[in-house]
Parts: sequence; structure tokens; C-alpha cells
Amino acid sequence: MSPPSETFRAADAERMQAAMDWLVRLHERSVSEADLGEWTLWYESDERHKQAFEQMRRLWGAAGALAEGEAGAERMRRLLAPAPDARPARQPWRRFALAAARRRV
Amino acid sequence: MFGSSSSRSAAKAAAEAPERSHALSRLFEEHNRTLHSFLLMRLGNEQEAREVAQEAYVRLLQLDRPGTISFPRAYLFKTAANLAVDRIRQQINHARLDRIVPRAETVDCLGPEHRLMATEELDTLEKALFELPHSHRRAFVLHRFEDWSTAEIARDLGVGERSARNYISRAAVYCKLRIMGLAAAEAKARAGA
Repeated sequence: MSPPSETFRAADAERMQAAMDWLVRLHERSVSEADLGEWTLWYESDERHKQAFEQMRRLWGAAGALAEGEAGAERMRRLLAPAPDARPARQPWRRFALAAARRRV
Repeated sequence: MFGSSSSRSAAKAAAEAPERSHALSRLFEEHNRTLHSFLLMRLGNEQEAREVAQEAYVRLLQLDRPGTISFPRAYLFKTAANLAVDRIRQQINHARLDRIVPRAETVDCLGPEHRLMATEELDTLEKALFELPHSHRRAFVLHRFEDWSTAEIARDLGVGERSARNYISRAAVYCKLRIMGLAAAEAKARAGA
């Protein structure tokens, strides 16, 4: 058997990407009728679109298990922990604001 | 004169009713799988997805003046989307209540669908999330687990909303590719993460 990287086709990844882009738009509480209509056309126009969407939807759903229970709460804290240095570089004012806030405490 | 005209329109509506309900049931059959997939994504639960789809369909059938709706399919999906938002709000309220007043059996906020993943796949998923750039991981986690909108995530990360959406989407595809067995470097290249 060949490794997955050889059998895996670029088109599959692109469809997964398209499916996931849709999933994010549909997941918004304020999803528009236009988006719903456009997605319906996309979903129903190609069996491979359906498969890709179902694949990503299952991952999206299954990921929920990561947040379950006490271990889940701890895991969420680790996943959301701030990056060691990336953010201050992007928003230098933040470092000053935080330092100022700390001084006030 | 009003009486006669309204009774005439009532008679007309009655004559049209079977045809209309036939058209609507065809609409439902045609898009049922699509609607179900959408609701399953939103609610994470087979039974709730079916219930909401039914309810949206009933609302469409019960419209007093169906003629005012030019695009019943859009109405069906939008109604279902709104009903799903209401359900999620209820679930979140119940989950909050459970945190304060624990019950023997706690309500699963996201439904049983996510038990479909094997433990080793979940481990890979968690590992994959930590392999991602901080912004991608944070965007994914806030959207999936904390129910933040992409606008809120964009503000939090100091990027545009389009970038925020891209981060979430790429993070998910990267994780999926890692679960499928691709090496980190290739998954990153394929997912553009």
C-alpha cells in the first residue's frame, strides 16, 4: 500500500477547504438567506461536495469531546493559553497596556 | 361586496391548497438531506436535527399567506436556522444551570454525535491543534467551543473577519489531514495553515 501522501489528491484537500469555508459561514448565528441558498446549490450540485462537507461536519462535531468533563476544561485552558511572544510583536501597545494594568493592581 | 370577494379568494385558496401542499412536500423531499446536514452541523444531534426540520416544515405549511413568500426554500432554511439558534440558547442555559445545580445526568450541550471519533483520533486532533500557529488554534477553539462569532474572533486577534474565517477553516482542514495520516509538513502545505 502506498502512503497516504501519494494517494491523496490535491483536489480532495481543496474540496475539504471549500466545505470547511461553508461550514464556518453556516455556523454563524446570523447566517443569511443568501448564504444558505448558495450553500444548498453547492452542496447538492456534486456528490463529492456532499462527502467533503459531511467529512468536515463530522470532525467539527467529534471535536466536541475535547471539551468534555474536567479534563476538557483544563484542555481548553491550555489550548487558549496566550502565545509566548507572537502577540506583543503584532500589537506592541498591548504590552504597555498590560504593564500599566499590572502596575495599577 | 367584501364578503363575496373574500369568499371567492377563500375558494381559490382551497382549490390551490392540495397543489401547494404537494409542491411543499416535494420541496421538503428534495432538500431534506441538505437541511438535515445543516441542522446536524448546528445542533450536533440527530434527533434534534429531525425535530427542527419538522418544525420548520410545519411553519411553512401553516403560513396564512403563502403567496407573500416568493422563495419557499429560502424560507424553510432560514426558519430552520432560527429555530436551531433558539435550541442552542436553551442548551446553553441548561448547561449553565447544570453547572450551578448539578444533576445526576448532565445535559450534553453538543449532543452525542461527537462520540463517533476513536480515542486515538481525538489524541491526534488535540496534538494537531497544538501544532498550529497560535492565531489558528485560538480562532478554531473560540469558534468551536466558546461559540464566538467570526467578528468577535477577528477583533480578539486584531485581524479582518475574512482572515479569522480562514484561520478556523484552515485549522480544521489541517487537523483532518493529520488524522488521515498526512505528515505535519504536508498537511500544513495542503491546508495552507
